[in-house]
Amino acid sequence: MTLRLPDPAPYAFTVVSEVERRSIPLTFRQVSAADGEWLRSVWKDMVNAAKKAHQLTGTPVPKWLNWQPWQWCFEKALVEAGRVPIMAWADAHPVGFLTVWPAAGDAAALYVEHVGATPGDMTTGLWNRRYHKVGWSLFAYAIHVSRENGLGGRVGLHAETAAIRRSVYGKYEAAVPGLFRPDATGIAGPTPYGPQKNATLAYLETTDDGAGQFLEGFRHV
Amino acid sequence: MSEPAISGFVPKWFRDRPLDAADDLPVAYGTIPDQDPRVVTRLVPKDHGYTLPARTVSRVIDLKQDLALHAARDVADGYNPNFTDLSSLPKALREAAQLAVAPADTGSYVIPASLPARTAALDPDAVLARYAELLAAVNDARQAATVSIGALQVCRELGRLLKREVETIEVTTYDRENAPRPMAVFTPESVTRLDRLLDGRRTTTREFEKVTGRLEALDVGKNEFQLKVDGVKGRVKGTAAFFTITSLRESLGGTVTLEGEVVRERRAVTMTAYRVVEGDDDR
Repeated sequence: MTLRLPDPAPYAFTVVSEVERRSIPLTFRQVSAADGEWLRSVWKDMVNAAKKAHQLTGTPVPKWLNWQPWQWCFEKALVEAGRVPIMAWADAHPVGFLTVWPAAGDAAALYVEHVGATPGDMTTGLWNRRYHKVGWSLFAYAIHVSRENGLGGRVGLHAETAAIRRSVYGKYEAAVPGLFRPDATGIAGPTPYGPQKNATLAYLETTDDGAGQFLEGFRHV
Repeated sequence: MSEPAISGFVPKWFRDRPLDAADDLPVAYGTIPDQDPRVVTRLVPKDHGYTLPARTVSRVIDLKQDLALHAARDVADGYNPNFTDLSSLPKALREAAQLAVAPADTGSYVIPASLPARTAALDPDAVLARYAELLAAVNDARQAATVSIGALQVCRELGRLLKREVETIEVTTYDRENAPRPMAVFTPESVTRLDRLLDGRRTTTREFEKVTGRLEALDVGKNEFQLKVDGVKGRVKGTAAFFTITSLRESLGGTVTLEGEVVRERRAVTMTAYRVVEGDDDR
C-alpha cells in the first residue's frame, strides 16, 4: 500500500511558539533527499552539541539524543519495506518528525514507529524549546493520514515505557475517553525489528470513534 | 497572573491546558531500531592546534581498522595471547570486520566508523564490545592479561602518535541502540603502561583448563561468576573475559563447563574464563 500524505485542511495541526505565544499551523511532507541536509547538518550537530554538554557536565544523556533520524529516513531496506518518514514544518523550519508504516495489528491501522520533536523543540542545558504541543499535532496528523488512506483513523503504536504510556498517551486519552482499545502485548508491529524489540511492549490502537473525536479537536473550518 | 492569550487558531485540546506542564516528557516516543554499532575516535591536537597532518589521520584510521580485526578474531576464534599476524585472518572474517568511516564530526577531529550488519559468522556488537575491552585493558592490568600481543602492539602504535602531533586520543564505542560505552582515553601515561605490558609479555603458550561446576552466583555489573566445584572448598570465583556474562543467566543453578586460566593460591581458586564449553567439546 502506498501512503498518500493529505493536506491538513479542514484541520489545522498547530504548535504554539513559546516566545511569541502564537499558534502556528504545521505543514507536512515526506522526507526527501533535499531534507537530508536539515537532518545531517542541523539536527545531528545540535544532538552532538547537547551530548557533549552532558559529557562535560557529567550528567546523564537522555535517550532522545541517541535517535539518528538522519539514518532512519534513508535506510533503503526499511523504506522499501514500508517505512514512511515525515517531517512537520513551521515557519520554514522542521519542528517534528514521524515515521509511519501503512498497516499494523489485526485491524488495518497506520503504525506509528516514531514521534519526535526536533532538537530545537527540546529543552536542554543549552537552549529552551521553541514550540509546545508538537506531539499532540503529530499524533492528530497520523490519524488524519490514516483516515485519508482508508484506514478509518486507526493508529497503532507501541508505548516504549510505562511513563510514556501514562504521561503522554494517557493525556490524549483524558481528552478523549475511549481513544484507545485496551492495551495489548505480544503484537510486534510491521517493523523488521518488532518481534525482537516490541513484542513485550504495550501496544495501543485507536478506536475509530475515539480517533475521529481526537481529530475533530483540530477542525479549523 | 494568568498566562497571556495565544494568538491564531488554537485546537480544542490546547485550550485551557497549560503550555508547560511539569510532567511533560520530551517528545521522542518510539523504539530505537538497531543500527550498525559504531566506534568513534576523537583526536585532540597538541598545543591547542586546529589541524592534524593528513598522514596522522590516515594512520589513526588504519590502526582503528587493525584493532577491529583483532577484536573480530577474538570473538570468532577465542583468545590467543600470542596472536599478531592479521594477514593470516580468513577473508570472510576480514570482510565482516571492515569498518566504514562515516563523515567526520565536529569537535576537534572526530572520526566515526561503523561495522557492517550482522553476518552468520560475526556479530558486530560483540566485536565492538570486545574492541572496548581491548582499549580498557590499556589502563587495567587485570584486563591486559586477556589481550593478545598483536592488539597491544596496535594500541601502542596508536599511543605513539601522542608523542608527536596529538595531545589525547579518546575512543568511544556505541552499541546497536547508539548508547555509548565508557570512553577510553589514551594519554602519554597509557603509552608507558603499554610499553611495560609488552615488555612483560612472554611468548609462551598458556595452558587453559576446563572447569565444571554448579553456577551459584552471577554479578552482571562486575562481570563475575561463582562456581561450586566438587573437591574444592568454597566457591571458585571468576571473571568472564571473552563472552557476555549474561549468556550464563539461563545456566544459573545448573552445571556449566568453562575454559580459561585457573589460579590456585592456598585454598582459594580463581578463574578467568574465556569461553563456555558446550556439549562434548574437545577443543
